[in-house]
Amino acid sequence: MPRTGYARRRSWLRVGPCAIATLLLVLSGCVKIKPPERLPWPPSEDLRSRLGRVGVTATASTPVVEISGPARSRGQGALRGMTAGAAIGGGAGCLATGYLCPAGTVAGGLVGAILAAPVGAIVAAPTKLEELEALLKRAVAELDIPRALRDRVVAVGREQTGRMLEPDSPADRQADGAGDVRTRLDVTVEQVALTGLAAVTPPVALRVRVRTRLLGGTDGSELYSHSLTYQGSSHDLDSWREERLHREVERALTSLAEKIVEEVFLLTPWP
Amino acid sequence: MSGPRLVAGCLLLLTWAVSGCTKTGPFPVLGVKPEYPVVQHVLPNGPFPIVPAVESLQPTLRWESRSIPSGEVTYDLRIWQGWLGGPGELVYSRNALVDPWHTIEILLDPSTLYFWTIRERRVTNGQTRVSDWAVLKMDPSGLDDRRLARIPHPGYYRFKTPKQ
Repeated sequence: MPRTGYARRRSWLRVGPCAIATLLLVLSGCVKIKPPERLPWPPSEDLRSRLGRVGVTATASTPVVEISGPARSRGQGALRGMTAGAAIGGGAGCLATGYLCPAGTVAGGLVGAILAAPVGAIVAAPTKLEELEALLKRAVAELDIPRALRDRVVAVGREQTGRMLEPDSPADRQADGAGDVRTRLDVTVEQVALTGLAAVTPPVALRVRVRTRLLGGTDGSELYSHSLTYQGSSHDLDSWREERLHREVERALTSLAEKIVEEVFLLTPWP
Repeated sequence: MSGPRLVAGCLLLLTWAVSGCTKTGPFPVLGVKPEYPVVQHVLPNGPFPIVPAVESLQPTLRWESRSIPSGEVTYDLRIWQGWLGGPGELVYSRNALVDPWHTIEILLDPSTLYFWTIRERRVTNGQTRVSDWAVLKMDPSGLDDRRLARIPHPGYYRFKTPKQ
């Protein structure tokens, strides 16, 4: 007996949601959402009282300098365009076809992917990205970000805590006579990056990741440590010039130095 | 079930569901509570805060005052200009404010989103100590949002300035 149009629509009504639910269930296993990183509780008052004179050091290792998010090649641009086109086309296809949503999603997705791939390839700006990466690397080297952060921590720490904080490196030790420091506050700039969403040419923001360790005792054992990430505001790829980059780096260093001093020396659980 | 009955049933269900969405109240916070402007929320215990509007480009921000036995408390205030992803540029900063309110001494930009936060500061035996910066309680898992290892914190209080 031939199936009527109504019966066919009803079978789609049963199959459609089931297919989408199955797809979501399968995809849910593919996505691992990492919980945002937390800071540990600050050092105890007992530990703070035993710190004595603190030498602030900047780890000599070079931070990872990178740009993540924008497509790095025309091929990657085409792929990103295809993905975005498939998502938009699939959504539009589902909305346009009502009961036939699953079929509409597939058809719309295919059309969207085919149309958006060449657009992605054309819009991708690999040369601009290379120039921006070179600019970022030059800024990191010129501004000597690890050393600049160390000096900022010393300045903020002296101002806000009244403690004897000293910049500490072999050269500084000779110049300032800071040989009697009992504790070292080691600041490592792990990453300086411009990051955005994984798209063709998304806006990007400055990200600076820092690890701070409080080292003490004769063996320099670790007394306390935390990692911290500064995330600036996003701007279009075109608008990142040397001036903006330097301004953003300055802002990041000030914010990070204040937070490091706050966590290590000032913060306390409030009654 | 006939078509009209199904539609009526769906509308009833939708009305019931939406009635829960229209309940508003102060958004839960961690740290010093704001008294003006107060961020409201759309869904009961939902993750979407409504950005309150202030009446002036130099608003007076107010917050709860708490006295503690071990000394006098003052307050530190920070205001950032906002963008889609959270606080952007720090535009205003004051430390050791005595009163639990403060009128902004600069003219803020009109029709602009701002993020603000407050913390307590006390000096005991010559040692300065501060509390965590106050934030909206947005983590559904119940973790302490104040300990997020990201700066500026995306959960600071917020307000929008008027057109002029």
